[in-house]
Amino acid sequence: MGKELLRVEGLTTHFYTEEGVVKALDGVTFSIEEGEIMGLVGETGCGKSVTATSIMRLIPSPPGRIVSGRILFEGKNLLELSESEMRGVRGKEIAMIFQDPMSSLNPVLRVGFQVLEAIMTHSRVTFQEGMRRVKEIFGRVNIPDVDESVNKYPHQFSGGMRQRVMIAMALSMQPKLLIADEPTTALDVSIQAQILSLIKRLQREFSTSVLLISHDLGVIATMAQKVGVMYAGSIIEYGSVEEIFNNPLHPYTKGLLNAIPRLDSDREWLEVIPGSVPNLIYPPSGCRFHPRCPLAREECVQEKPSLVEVERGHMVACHEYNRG
Amino acid sequence: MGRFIARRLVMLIPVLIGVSIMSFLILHLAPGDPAELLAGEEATQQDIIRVRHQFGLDKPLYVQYFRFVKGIFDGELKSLKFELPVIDVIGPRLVNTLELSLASIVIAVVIGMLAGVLSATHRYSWIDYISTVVALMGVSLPVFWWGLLLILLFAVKIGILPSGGMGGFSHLILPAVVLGTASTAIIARMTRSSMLDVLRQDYITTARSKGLVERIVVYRHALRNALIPTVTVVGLQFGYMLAGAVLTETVFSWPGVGRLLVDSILSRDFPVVQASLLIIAGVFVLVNLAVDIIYALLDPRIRYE
Amino acid sequence: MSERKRTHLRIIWLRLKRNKIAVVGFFIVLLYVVVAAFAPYIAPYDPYKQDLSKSFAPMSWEHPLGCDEFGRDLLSRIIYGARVSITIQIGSIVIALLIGVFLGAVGGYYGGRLDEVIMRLMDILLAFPGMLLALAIISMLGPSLRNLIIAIGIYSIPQFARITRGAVIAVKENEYIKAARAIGEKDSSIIMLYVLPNALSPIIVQTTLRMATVLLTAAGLGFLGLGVQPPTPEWGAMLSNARMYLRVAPGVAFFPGFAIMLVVLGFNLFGDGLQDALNPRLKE
Repeated sequence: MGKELLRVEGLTTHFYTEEGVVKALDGVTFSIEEGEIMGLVGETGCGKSVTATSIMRLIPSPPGRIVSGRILFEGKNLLELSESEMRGVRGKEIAMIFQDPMSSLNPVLRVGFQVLEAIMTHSRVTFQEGMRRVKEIFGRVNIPDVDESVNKYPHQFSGGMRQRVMIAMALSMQPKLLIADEPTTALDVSIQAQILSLIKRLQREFSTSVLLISHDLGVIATMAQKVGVMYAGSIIEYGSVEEIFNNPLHPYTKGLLNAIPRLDSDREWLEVIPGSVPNLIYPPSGCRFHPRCPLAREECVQEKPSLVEVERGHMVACHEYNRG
Repeated sequence: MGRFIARRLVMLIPVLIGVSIMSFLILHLAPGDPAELLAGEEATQQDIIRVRHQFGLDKPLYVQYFRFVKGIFDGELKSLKFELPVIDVIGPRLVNTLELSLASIVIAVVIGMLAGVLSATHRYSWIDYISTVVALMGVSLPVFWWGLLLILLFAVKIGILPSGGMGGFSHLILPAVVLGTASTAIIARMTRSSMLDVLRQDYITTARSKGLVERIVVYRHALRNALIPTVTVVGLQFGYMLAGAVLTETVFSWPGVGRLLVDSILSRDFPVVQASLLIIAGVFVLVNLAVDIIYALLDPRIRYE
Repeated sequence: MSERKRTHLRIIWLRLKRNKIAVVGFFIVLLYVVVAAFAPYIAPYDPYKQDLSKSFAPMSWEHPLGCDEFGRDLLSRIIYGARVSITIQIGSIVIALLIGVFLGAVGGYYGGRLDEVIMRLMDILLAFPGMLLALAIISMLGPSLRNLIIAIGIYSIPQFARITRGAVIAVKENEYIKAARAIGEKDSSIIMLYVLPNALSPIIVQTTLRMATVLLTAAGLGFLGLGVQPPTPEWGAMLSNARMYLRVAPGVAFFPGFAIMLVVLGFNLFGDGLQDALNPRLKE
């Protein structure tokens, strides 16, 4: 049991659009320990990325707003920091890598410079010293021909290499927390494995905690120690990877795991969760999963279940398990 | 990169030839006998015959064409009014127009880009609103009317600026502002929409996630990208100025090539008309080429093909 | 009209109505058209009638905008000027549409050598910046209303050609076109019935915006003395006269120019609104 690094409590984020208020996050709660890899899994639109951007306070502010909640990082509530204090956190204490490295890197600036920026924003070093560090981290992420590569532009690299650049950029200041938002989704399968193992290795070397976001259960299973399952804006099940995968409790989690085709079963049909993801402008009352849930009861419509610890470290938000 | 320039140059050549042919044909497509047109209103029959021979109008058309093009550059083609080679008449005027256009484009770029960036970064604020309204009006403003109004205000009523002619800074400022107005509006709009596009991109979020100050995000990351399509517009505007200066030069009696063209049309000085058209269009085509090259230089994706 | 088309049009109409700026533009244009159409009934005086005793008369109830140097009522001249302007606009746009759309459609549809030749020709026309081409043509033909329409018409052709060509190329590879060809339908009917209607919205937008450019160009040429000749009331030419008397009677310079600006603004606002309504990019 390590020390707690990040604790998110009741994070609620809304987006005010022309069509209505999108209640993207509805009281998200979880925590990450030092040196731990936590996965956040769920379908597209469940709020995984919004959670990540909320922690970084990068929610675009005309439509979006963090309405309530606390984000405790090393004890400090990030939501209470001034913008300039928050800038000191971004890139230095908490760093982020994104899904599509082609669109996430500035096409008109050299990659070496883009990484250098991260370093020189947070430390008082000379240009030469900064570039030395850039080359060093390029080496650590296994980018070949470092001296040439730092002067190249993003479009001159392959997808996998670009993602390595992003990782270099994020880890250049050795942040305590790395948020990886679908880091391998845009990459070929063979490259995916390389990038994931790179992240794992660097995580150990730098003792960084990782919040790994993915819709791919396989990725989560290989990488994370702990996982949170998200549905329509909140975490509905949460625990160690072994627990969740071997003993899923929430009907949605069960449905997710059942939907994966398995070689060792006799089933001929793919199980499907009936219905579709709810509209977050007019979300269902009570438990947001109730319209699709085989176990739905009266109280599921009335009241939203909160996360309750059922076994050691294994928490579920479902009225089925909330008694007593 | 060199191949890129070479390819562009090659594509230019038919256009330049076409332009020269059209300029040449002005004299011949006009109703009436070219010799009579050149000889003027009070010409006698003898004059006309002399002119016909002097200008080689009895020779086949393609010969005349080559004579025409050659004549511009070696001084053989002379103005009817000034009796100087057209190149000597047009040259200094072209320089004057260039001076005016440069001043105008500088004003347009500085004010236009600043307004565009501010508009984009402060959307829906009063800055944005006023910029948009002023930009729309700027594009609709008839240049000559705007010039007259400014003359009325500054030269007639307040009397601090001269109403025409060329001279020092005080003579340059009003025409430059007038000529630059429409371009300022267009550049502002273009910069704004370009910036808005860029600010939505993922790499801007990445830049912020590194902890960069917003000012650096806007000016180093966003603007550098937004400049690329905007440069094209700036170049085109500069090209238009070189020719659209016609109206501004007339209002302010600026001795430029545009005014020369109009005067020559009115005084039926055909050689100057033809040569001016050719030269102005030629310069415009070259400016467009320069814009293409600068665009390629600015965008590393094209440069490192 | 099919059901789908009707709802499609409704959506466009609603979008247009919501855009208040475009609505303002529309009413300006409407006012302009009405004034031009009913000029003889609206204008208080004969725009050609001179009365030297009233030379430069100031604004009054009798002459709301005053009189010009020949004692002609300015308001009436401006009202009739709308007629002249709209004639030039309609005339030149019709020329540009007929020739430009034809060339663009043919070039885009058939492609190959024909397309290349047409595009080169358009490039040559476009190599003359701004008003230069119109100036060149006027210098050839001499200034008059008819020549002005021809000159501005020709100068407007390349834009319509380009836009039509772009729209045609975009649609050309569609399945139903290939199917129509396979059945053996005539090329001309394919183009008229299936291809061109797709180009309709960009052409309409271009037409509206072009009306603004044409007016500015015509007024500019009039100002230079190369357009409509006096005594015909044309707004640009009126400004040219007023220039000489700027100190004495600024009003004579102000109003015709203001009329030009207002109408141009109207077309620009309405055209922009049309463009947004017909191709809504996400307005973020």
